[in-house]
Amino acid sequence: MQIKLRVNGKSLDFDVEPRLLLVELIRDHVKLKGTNIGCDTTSCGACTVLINGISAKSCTVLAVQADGCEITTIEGIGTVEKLHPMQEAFYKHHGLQCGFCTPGMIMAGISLATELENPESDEIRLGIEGNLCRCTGYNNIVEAIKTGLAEMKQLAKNANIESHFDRKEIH
Amino acid sequence: MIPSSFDYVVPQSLQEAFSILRESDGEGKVLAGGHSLIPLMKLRFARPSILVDISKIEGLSKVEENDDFIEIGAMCSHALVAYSNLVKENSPLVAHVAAQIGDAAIRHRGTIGGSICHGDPASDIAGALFATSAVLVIAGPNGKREMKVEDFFVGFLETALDPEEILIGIKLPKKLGRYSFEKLQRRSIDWAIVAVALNKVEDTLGVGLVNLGPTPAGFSLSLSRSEDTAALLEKFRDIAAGLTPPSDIFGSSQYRKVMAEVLFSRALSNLV
Ligand SMILES: Cc1cc2nc3c(=O)[nH]c(=O)nc-3n(C[C@H](O)[C@H](O)[C@H](O)COP(=O)(O)OP(=O)(O)OC[C@H]3O[C@@H](n4cnc5c(N)ncnc54)[C@H](O)[C@@H]3O)c2cc1C
Ligand code: FES
Ligand code: FES
Repeated sequence: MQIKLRVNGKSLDFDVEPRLLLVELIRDHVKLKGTNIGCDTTSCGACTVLINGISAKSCTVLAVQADGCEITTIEGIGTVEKLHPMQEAFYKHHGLQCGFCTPGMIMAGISLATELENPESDEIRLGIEGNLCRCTGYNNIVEAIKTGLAEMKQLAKNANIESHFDRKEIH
Repeated sequence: MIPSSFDYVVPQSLQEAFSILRESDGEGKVLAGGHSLIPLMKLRFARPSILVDISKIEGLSKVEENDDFIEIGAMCSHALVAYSNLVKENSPLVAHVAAQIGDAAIRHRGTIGGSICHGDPASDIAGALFATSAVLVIAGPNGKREMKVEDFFVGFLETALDPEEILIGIKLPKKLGRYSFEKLQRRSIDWAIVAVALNKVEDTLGVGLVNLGPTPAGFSLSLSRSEDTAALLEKFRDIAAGLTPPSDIFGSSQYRKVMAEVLFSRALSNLV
């Protein structure tokens, strides 16, 4: 089946079987290996990407369901020279150890900007309830996401963009 | 895990969806958010020959207001239901429960319609619909019909829908009262081991039961002024005695019954 989607801003065409999972499309066809597969059962969040700006577990989405959508993966948010504020915050707060959960954690954290305005730590913990980390014990991740969200909000304010915090966008 | 092969279509209208479902001879399945169906297909417990993705059919993803009820489109995501002002203002229990399903990413993809049509006894939202006396709007090749939620679930993962029918909306009465939802789970992302939803409007207490039998269930109690908590608990105990909750690694049937009572009394004291 022919599908067309934008991955990290690039328009791409694919001819895929309907049973291909989005995570497999991303890893094996687009060859972006930052999005991980942990559980393959919608439980761990290692495969979290953004579909039209909000988080989804790509092991439980068919690639064909994403036809026409904008997909953002960990590779699409920053560069080594200029990290995304959420990446910068994970770096600053030491929000990772082995790094396996990190791409999913960062994408889930970025997505929270659409739902939480000035989140308390408890709200962030609930916000990442679907992302498991075997290493850190979560405290540094929660701190990192708090800082990252505040930074994103400041940037959006500077640029006069409200959309990050517009809950109506959630579908 | 890779599902077995299937065809995939994205109809633009209900009529188109009905005719594809008819041609599939019972082998086709509606795809909503896919967050119950795709996991089952990956395990090959489900092997539909064709998936009919209803996400592009107009009008199924919004909440509308009428005089005495609001209608939630079947394709509204759990997140949309949780954040919708119309739902929060007119049926706050349903918004409150939607916000506790799975995790944020699951709530972005999973839909209220899918949660009901799957027929899972552990569906949180189904419990909320029992407590609020919801009415389901079903469309099929021969037109629309409406059904009370208590007539919809006929067995384990089995509903009153014909293979060609599609749930299009959920009507919730605009009746405000006090509500609460108590969910017992091991980790916050988990399904309920048991959950109880309460919706108290005037002198009626709507009760929704999650994972306490082969299907979602519920009943209502009329509250007389003199009735105290102990009397209500007694009534609940009588009804719970007739339930047949499942036994699994999370708890025995008996444990679930006992916990249902505990959750019911907690829910009574936590009504907001
Ligand atoms: C890890 C995980 C945790 C979860 N935790 C919870 C939880 O705590 N509580 C909870 O309630 N749920 C939970 N869920 C389930 C989640 O809520 C699903 O979204 C929901 O059960 C199904 O909705 P869906 O839109 O994804 O439906 P789908 O998976 O697309 O469909 C489910 C079934 O319903 C049928 N169907 C769907 N829509 C219609 C329609 N409009 N008309 C006719 N038939 C239709 C499909 O053919 C299929 O048989 C969890 C899921 C996962 C993966
Ligand atoms: S791999 Fe998708 S949630 Fe674990
Ligand atoms: S850093 Fe190792 S799993 Fe999170």
